[in-house]
Amino acid sequence: MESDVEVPWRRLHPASLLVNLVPTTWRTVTRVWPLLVAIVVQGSVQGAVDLGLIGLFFAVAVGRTVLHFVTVRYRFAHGRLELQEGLLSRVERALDPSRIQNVAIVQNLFHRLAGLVELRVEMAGASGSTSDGLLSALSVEEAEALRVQLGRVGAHVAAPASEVEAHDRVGALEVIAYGVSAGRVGAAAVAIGFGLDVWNQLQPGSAPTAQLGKLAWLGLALVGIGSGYLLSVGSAVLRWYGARWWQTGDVLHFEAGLLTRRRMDIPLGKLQTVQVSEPILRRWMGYATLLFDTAASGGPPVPGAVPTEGCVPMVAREDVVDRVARAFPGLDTPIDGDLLPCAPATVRLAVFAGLLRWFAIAAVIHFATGLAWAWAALPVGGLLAYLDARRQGWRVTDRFIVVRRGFLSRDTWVLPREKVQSVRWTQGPLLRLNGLGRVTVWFPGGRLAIPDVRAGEAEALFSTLQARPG
Amino acid sequence: MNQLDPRVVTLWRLQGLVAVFTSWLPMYALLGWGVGGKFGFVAAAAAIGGFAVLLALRALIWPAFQYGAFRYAVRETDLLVEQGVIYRQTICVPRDRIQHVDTRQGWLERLFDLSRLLVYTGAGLSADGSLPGLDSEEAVRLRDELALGGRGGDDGV
Repeated sequence: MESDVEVPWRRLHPASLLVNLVPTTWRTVTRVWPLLVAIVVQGSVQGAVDLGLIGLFFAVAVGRTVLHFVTVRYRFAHGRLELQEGLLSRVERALDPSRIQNVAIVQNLFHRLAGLVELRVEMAGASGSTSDGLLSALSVEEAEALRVQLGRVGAHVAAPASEVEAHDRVGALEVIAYGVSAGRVGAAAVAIGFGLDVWNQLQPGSAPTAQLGKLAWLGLALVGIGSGYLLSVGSAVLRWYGARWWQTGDVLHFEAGLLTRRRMDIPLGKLQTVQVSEPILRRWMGYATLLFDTAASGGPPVPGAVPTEGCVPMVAREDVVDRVARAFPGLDTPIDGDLLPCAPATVRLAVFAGLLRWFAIAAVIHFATGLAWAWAALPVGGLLAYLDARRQGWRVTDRFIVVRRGFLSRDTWVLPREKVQSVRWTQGPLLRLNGLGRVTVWFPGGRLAIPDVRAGEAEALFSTLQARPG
Repeated sequence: MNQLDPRVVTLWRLQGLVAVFTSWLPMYALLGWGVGGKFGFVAAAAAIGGFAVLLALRALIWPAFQYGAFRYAVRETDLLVEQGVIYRQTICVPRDRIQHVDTRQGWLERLFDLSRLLVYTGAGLSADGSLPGLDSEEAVRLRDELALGGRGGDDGV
C-alpha cells in the first residue's frame, strides 16, 4: 500500500564532483576538437589567447559538473522513478518500471577509485546517445537497492540465488581472439594515410611518399595491418575483459570491461532481437558473438554512444542455438542452417550491383593513381557479391522470424513475431522487372528485411505476417 | 480499399509548385550564376529555365499518378496502406500495435480543408502508415477510431 508520507528527493553522491569532472571535461573538449587541432597545428599553444581558451573550456567543464551535481534529484515514489535536472531548462521525468527496457550499472576508473557506480535506465525509443534515466554517481549499495526496487515493481525481480544460471564466461584468450577477428585494418590504413598526408603538407620539401619504393609501401601496408589488429585487440580487452552473462529467473545479466566495468540487466520480456554475428575469422575460430537488443536500441548506433544492448563477445558456435533458445524459450526453428534461400534472380541482381560498385571503385583508383591492377578487384568483388547473396537465408515460423545475411561478415537475426509492429511489402522497378518482392518487418528498435523472394511468395509472406502469432 | 480525397491532387500540385519556386529554383539560379561566367549567362539561364519547366511539369502531372496509386483500408484488425507509382509499397499496421494517432494540417492543407493522419507504433513514425489528404472530418473520425486500438493485446514493446 502506498504511504502518504512524502518521499524525500535524493542527490547524487558528493564525490560525483570529482568522478564526473574528467569525463565532462573530455566531452567538452571533444565537442570543440577542430579548434584544439587548429591550435596545436599552428604551434601557438603558448599564446595567452590559446591558454585562455583552454582555461575557458575547463571552466565550462567544471561549471557543468557542479551544475549536474546541484540540480540532479531522484526518488522512487508513487511506484516509479522520478528525476529532476537542469537550472534554466528544467527537466522532470517519471519512469514507469514496467516500461523499462534495461538497467545498466557502469563503473569507470574514477567510479572505482571513489567506490561509486553510475546507474543508467533505458526506456523504449531512447536516442542512443543519452540515457532516459542517468544517475552518474551513486554508492554501490544505493544503486543496487534502486535496481532491485525497479526490478520488483517492473515484475522482473531477480530470482533467489539457487535459480541463478551461469551461461558463459569469456576468457582472456577469447577476448584477444575477439579483437583479432574484429580487425580494424581499415581504420589503421586511414590513420596512416592521413598521417602521411599531414607530413607531406607540413614538410613539402621532404615528402616521404614521393621517395617510397615498392618494398617500403609493402612495409607500410604491413605496419597498417599490424597496428589495425593491435588497435582492435586493445579495444576488445578494454571493453570485453572478464565478460560474462548469466540468468536469474526472467532476467538476463551481462557484465564486461577492464577499466570501465558495465553490468546490464535485461528482462526476457523486453528482448526484441538476438543477433548472431560471425565475421569470417571468428567463424573459422569456431566462435560467434551474440547481441541482445531491446526497444532502447532506437535505430542505428550513434558513434561514441553508450551501447544499449547486451552482448556476449565470444560463444562457441556449437552453443549458439542453445544460448539463443535461453533468450527465446520455445524457439521453434533452426538458426544455423536449413534456412530458405532467396530467389535466383536476387543473386543475379546482387552480383550485377556488386560488379557495378567495384567497377566504379576500380575506375577511380585506376584514373587517380594509374594502378592498372585495381581492375583485379572486379572479379573478386563479383565473387564476394555472389557469395553474400547465396548465403542469405530466412524462415518464418508460427512464432519467430529468422534472417541470415552476409558471407565475409555473417549475421543472423532472430525476431519473435509477437514483437512485430508493422509489415511492409515493397517492389521497386528493378524488383518488378525481375518478378521479385521484398517484405520488411518493423519492430521496436529497428527493422528487418527478409531477403528478396519471388513476388508471389512475398505477397504470401506479407499476408502470413499480417496475422498475429498464436 | 478507400481513396484519398480528390482535392489532394490540387494540393500536391500546389505544394510541388511552391517547392519548385521556393527551394529548387533559387538553388539552381545560384548555381547558374556561379557557372554562368564560364559558359555564358544566356546558356545558364536557358538551362535553368528549361529545368524549371521540367520540375513544374512534374509537379503538375505526377500527383495524379500518386493519387491513383494511393489506397487505404481501416480493417477490423489493422490499417492497410498501398502507395507508390514506381516504388510500390503496401504497409500493414496491426491496430493493437498503434501507440497514438495524430492529425496535422499545414497552411496549404487548411485552404483545402484537408488533414494528414500520422500513425505511431512502438517502432516509431518512420515505420508506420501515414495518410495524407484526408477530409478534415474524416481524418478526425479515423484518428478517434484508430486510437481506440484493437483487441487490447500486448503492444510488443
